[in-house]
Amino acid sequence: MLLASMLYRQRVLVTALLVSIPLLETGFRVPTASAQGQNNSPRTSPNSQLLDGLFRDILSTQMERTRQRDEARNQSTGYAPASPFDVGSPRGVPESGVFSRPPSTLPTSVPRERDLSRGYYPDSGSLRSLQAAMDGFAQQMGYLRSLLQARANTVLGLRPLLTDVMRIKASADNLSALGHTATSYSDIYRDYLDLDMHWRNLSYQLRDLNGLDSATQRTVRQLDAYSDQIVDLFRVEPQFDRQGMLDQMTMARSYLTTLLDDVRYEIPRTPQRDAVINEGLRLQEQIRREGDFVRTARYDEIVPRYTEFVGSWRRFSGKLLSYKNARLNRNISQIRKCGEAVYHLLWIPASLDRNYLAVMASSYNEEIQQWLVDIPLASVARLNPSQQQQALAASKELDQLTRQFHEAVRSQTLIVSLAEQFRGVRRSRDRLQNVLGPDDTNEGDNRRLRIDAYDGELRDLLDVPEALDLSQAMQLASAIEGLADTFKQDVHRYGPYYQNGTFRNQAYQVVDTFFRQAQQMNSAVASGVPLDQLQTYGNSMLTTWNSVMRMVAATSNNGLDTSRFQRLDRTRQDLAPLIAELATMLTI
Amino acid sequence: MNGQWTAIVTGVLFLVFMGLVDGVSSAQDGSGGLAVDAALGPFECVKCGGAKSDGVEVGEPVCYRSRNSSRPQVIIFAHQLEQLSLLDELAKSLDARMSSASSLRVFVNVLGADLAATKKKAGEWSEKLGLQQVAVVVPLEHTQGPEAYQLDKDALVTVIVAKRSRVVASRAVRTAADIKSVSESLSKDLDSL
Repeated sequence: MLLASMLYRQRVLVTALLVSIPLLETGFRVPTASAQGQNNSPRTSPNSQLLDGLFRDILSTQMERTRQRDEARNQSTGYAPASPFDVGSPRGVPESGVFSRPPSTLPTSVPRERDLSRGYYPDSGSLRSLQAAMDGFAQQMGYLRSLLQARANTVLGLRPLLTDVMRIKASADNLSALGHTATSYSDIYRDYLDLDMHWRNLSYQLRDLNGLDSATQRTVRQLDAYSDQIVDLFRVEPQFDRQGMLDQMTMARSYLTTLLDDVRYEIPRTPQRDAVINEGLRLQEQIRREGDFVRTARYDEIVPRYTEFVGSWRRFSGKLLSYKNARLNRNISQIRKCGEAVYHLLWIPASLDRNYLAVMASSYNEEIQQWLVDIPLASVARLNPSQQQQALAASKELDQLTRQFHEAVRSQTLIVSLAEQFRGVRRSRDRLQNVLGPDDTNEGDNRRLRIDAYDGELRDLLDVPEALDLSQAMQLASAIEGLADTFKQDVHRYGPYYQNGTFRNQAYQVVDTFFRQAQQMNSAVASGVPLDQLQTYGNSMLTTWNSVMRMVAATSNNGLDTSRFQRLDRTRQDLAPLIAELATMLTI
Repeated sequence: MNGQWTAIVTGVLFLVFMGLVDGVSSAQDGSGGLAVDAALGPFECVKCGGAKSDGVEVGEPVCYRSRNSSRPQVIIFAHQLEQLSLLDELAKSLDARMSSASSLRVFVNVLGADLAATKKKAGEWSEKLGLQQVAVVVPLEHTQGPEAYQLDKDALVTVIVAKRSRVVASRAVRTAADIKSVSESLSKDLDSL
């Protein structure tokens, strides 16, 4: 058993190394302007090989970290290996996406018959079926990747999912390769369960998108069928993210504590207020119990209990919403988001909370109306007469559309119509802002933030996705710039140790270029430049990143000792997932 | 040119024929509510009768869709209170089927504008049929049913078959005569689950 485990680990490492070899060639060069220009077309597909390689590289890094962590854990507790998807956040870098979080300590499944992780040796026919299903899954995943990349600009809400698509594809390729050498289910059991869980979450989100063509839907169904086939072969239930649910419930409980504190401070003491607080305390206890339950219960047991909790929460939050208190509403918003996230992890669409929608629409309307009243005369006065006319027309339009939307929400109009009306309001607001230009005053800035916050809530409630998740892009771009700076300083600091002057100059040049491009990207994302421009910057950065990776690989052959090389390589490993995610978001 | 006209006329005739013979619309053509493979959202309802031993009291608010979770389930919406008797045979046959197929779950949602009257009628109907396994409920969104289910408001009945929380089939019945064909299709769907 021990020998089998060691052999498996060796295979994992060898496979990971094999797939990342193309990236570790020793030659590197700074991409020329013309070379970058070839990739600059925003309409062309990304350099898929480069992105694929980047994801494989990330996977191999994660597997290596997992291996080291497992070894440490096994030495101390003898605990089973964790998921290759589980990766801690790099130094000073925000968590991003479902794959990036501390390792789960929860069981990933409730086996139907036996604990396969302890070793289950099926007949060779079953093993061949498993290998065939995994090959089929990996192949279809590659096909899905191509289909989705081609549709990223036309299907709203698809772009943020592409990073998960790339990660799952990289993992599926790896498992498919491992499957051919596996002699026991236990070799690939745990890794596959992780993959299954991530695929099912992605499948749910893809099915939820509007506008996916029939070929893509067929491919998703085909992948689901492979996934079902594989869990049946493993004799386990379809996998769902217990740890993710527990995290969300813990956060919800924490927001509920803050909410109850705020109720105490914000609402004058009355018997009704005390009754509300008591009800909140009961809910707090209920969600703690739900969290405990989620650790071990079966899917079919969790769903009804959780829905019961959501029903109680909505009745409670309805009472608080009637206070129309912005501070309370902020906490309610956070808890609502946690609640929706849990439903998504259970692959169930949450029903619309009409009470909450009404309050958000009302606040949005009030803020917009106030903005229209407060538009500074100075900002209108500096416009030419034609622009002033445009501003006047746009203001009237926005005023009218916002009121209509608010009224439609109050009269329980269907969600589809509400979403359409809301899109109209947003377009109208954009038009007015474009005519008026930026309002740099503090008051203007605060108002914009408040309107944006309500706008985000309404988009979420009415399922009106943005073309690009700007806040996520900003976090990533900012983190990349920070790490690129560290990286540049390290490469320059190690300058005296490089044996070859040409290598030194090229290394300086490539990290300087990379840092400059990271700065450019961060500033472009923060200032909201159009997507096609971001894609151009992203293309250049990705091409340079390829050179950075080769440069790092070559440093140890050019005089850098092991510890310095490891420091550079560690920064490279931290940067890689961020660049991969940003590049995929932009679908360069 | 003649060939083109022949093709057009054939196509039109085919569509007319389909319209005449088929009062049942399925999710595939977009008129039977949720599409095949769509995820089923939760919706709260009040139990009015049936399902004697499922642990839910009459009058109690409950989300049967969530209680049934990923199990195979049939969700029926009766859009018109006065046409409830259309479902007599179907409900009884499903009740009998549930007695033998332990994993199958069925609940009938009775819709109507007047909440109290709808609950009363739903309770009386389940008593009349003596339903032991099938639950009879009135959703909180009692006029047109849960919005997320995109039910056809012109339909008499909508029948949704689901497994693993996803729609397997969804059929809207627009004329009383079509309930028989829907029952037959449903039976085939359930056999293949």
